[in-house]
Amino acid sequence: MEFTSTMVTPTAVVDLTVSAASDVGNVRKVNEDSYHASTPIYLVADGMGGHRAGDEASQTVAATFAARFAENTATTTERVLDAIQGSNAAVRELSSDAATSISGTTLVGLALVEAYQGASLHWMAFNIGDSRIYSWDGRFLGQLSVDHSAVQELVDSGLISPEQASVHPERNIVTRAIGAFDNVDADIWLLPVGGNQSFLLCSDGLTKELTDVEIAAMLAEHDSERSSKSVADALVEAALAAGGRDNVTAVFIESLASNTILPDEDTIGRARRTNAFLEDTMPRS
Amino acid sequence: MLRYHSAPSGHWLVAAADGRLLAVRTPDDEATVERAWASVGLPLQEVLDELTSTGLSSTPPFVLVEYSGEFPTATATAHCIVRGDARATVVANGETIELDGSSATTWTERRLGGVQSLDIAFGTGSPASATLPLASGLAWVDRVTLAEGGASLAVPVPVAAAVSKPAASTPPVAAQATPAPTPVVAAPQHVAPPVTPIVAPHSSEVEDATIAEFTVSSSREAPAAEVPVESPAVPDFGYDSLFEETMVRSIEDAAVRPEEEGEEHAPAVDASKGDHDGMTMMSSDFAALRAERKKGKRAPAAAAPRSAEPSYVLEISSGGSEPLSSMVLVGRAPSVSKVSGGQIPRLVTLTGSEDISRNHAQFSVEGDTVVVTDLHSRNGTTIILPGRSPQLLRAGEPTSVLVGTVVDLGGVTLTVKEA
Repeated sequence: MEFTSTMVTPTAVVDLTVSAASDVGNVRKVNEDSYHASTPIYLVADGMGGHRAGDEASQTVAATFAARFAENTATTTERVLDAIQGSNAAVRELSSDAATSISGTTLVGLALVEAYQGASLHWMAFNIGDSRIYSWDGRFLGQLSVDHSAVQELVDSGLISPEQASVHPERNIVTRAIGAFDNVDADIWLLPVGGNQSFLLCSDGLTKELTDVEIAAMLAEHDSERSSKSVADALVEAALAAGGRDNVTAVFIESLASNTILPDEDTIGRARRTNAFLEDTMPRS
Repeated sequence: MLRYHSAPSGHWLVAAADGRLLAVRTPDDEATVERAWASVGLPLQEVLDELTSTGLSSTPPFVLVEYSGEFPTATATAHCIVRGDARATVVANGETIELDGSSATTWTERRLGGVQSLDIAFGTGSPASATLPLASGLAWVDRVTLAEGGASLAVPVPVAAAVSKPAASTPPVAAQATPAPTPVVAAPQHVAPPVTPIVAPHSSEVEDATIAEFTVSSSREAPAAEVPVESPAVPDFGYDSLFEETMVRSIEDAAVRPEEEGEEHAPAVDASKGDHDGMTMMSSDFAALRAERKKGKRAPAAAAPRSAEPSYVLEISSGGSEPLSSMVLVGRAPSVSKVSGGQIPRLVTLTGSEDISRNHAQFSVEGDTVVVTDLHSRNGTTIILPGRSPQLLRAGEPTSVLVGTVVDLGGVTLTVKEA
């Protein structure tokens, strides 16, 4: 799926190109991943739990978000946090119905938020679990989210290296998830919107098959030569070709924003990849 | 004089000793009865340690009372801790106070002076029997009363435990504590919290404290609702620590409560005793604490509306104003990196000056004081307090400012005003 949209706020005009793809993979029988991609909110959820509980959990989250946000209108951090809590409650509801299994899901997402109408526009990234969000600026792929996983904690504490983490027997254990507890605590990032910015949301089925370097190379290739295939499709196909041992889901968001309140943007050519206003402040002379 | 209504065995067991009463809901087995009897004479803190030794979630309902003085006189005091479905009714200074443990995830605790009588109903449903006196010993009970005659003086024990649900009658905490900004400490959870004595406004010292309120005890009249009381995160940026001023502490630490005026605060929990030092927390305990804190957050608003709590706005020289309801982060292109706990600062983008850094300064309200912090900005932040000469803020150092203060970010100024 691929679409373009334009969002106009009092402070910015944002042109978006969004592609999304999900595949069951080569081994699994059920696709427990879900995504929702509709401006101003995009998310990937990777369900877990047996007896089809996982796919229901991730679909519930996607449906909860889909129902709560008006299209092409900037939302607020509060509403996103509400939706996170709301989907947690909905997933817990699922578990209480089915006495046999408890379901849960990861959630990683991105939203366009403003504090109030007319306030500056920000990207709000949110994460619970081990799905990931990366930012891409045309040169560098940076992982924004920090996995809530047992191995990430081992990496953080210096006990194992990131390479060891990728083959660690407990690499599938998440420490936070939607549906796990009555309250869910998401990690939040807020980034200014401006210029050319791209984000990749993906389930671990993608990052277990492709290294960050491979993903970056594919994104760079996409930037240089336009192909008929969407970025998300290309990434998912590559992950399947590399093994596809898990469900694979990718949502790629490309944005070009002209900020009406950041005059720097008007004087600098759009072709420039970096954002002048994000660069270091010059010392006062 | 302690009297009781007896009940069949296997419900509530009361152990009475000098100035001390411990009731535990327990099955009729020798070992637990033995344990109740052994622990009744221990210092209060150790009794709690014993009761909670298997974790908070498997702690049985209990009532623990320490009392002293002649009932009913002004010198009679009682320290009551109620957990679970027991209900204690205390008459103190002519006022009837109900303590019910059933709605608290931990326990309800009150320390009362001028106690006239104490009545604990356990609701075992057994038929009322004649009341029997109990000086010292064990009995299966339905109800216990403590009235006239009173206690022979108990050995004063340093008390250091209190977790209770907020009550509607929470008296305002007196303003003896410094109004300085709450010290923002990204402390590891095992550090005992600094305790500022809170002075009760009158001598009967009816005190209530919730965990949430406790974290703000050093700023005056700080409504718990204003304080971010969610779980801590690992901040990446220096200023992130400011959103995370509340720490998760062990139950005992959080429960350390101040003593009355003039006294040194109670000693912190003795952490050296074996496994049950209260430092080990089960995930269910965290959940209980969270629930407790949530309650604390809601209760003040619902129960006792506080008198006009000051609110502030930031007036921006380049136009507009921002309410200081939550934390506000100002800069040329402000951003926030990895915060959790649902406390997200409001980002205010300032235009019109090249001198302003992306993340330049942060404003927050601590208690009723506005605190400004320069976020290691390139060109610094200058504040001009009313009637004072300009002063350059030290980077990263939270500084409290008064209404009317002008904060100069270089090219753009922000003025702190009352809303």
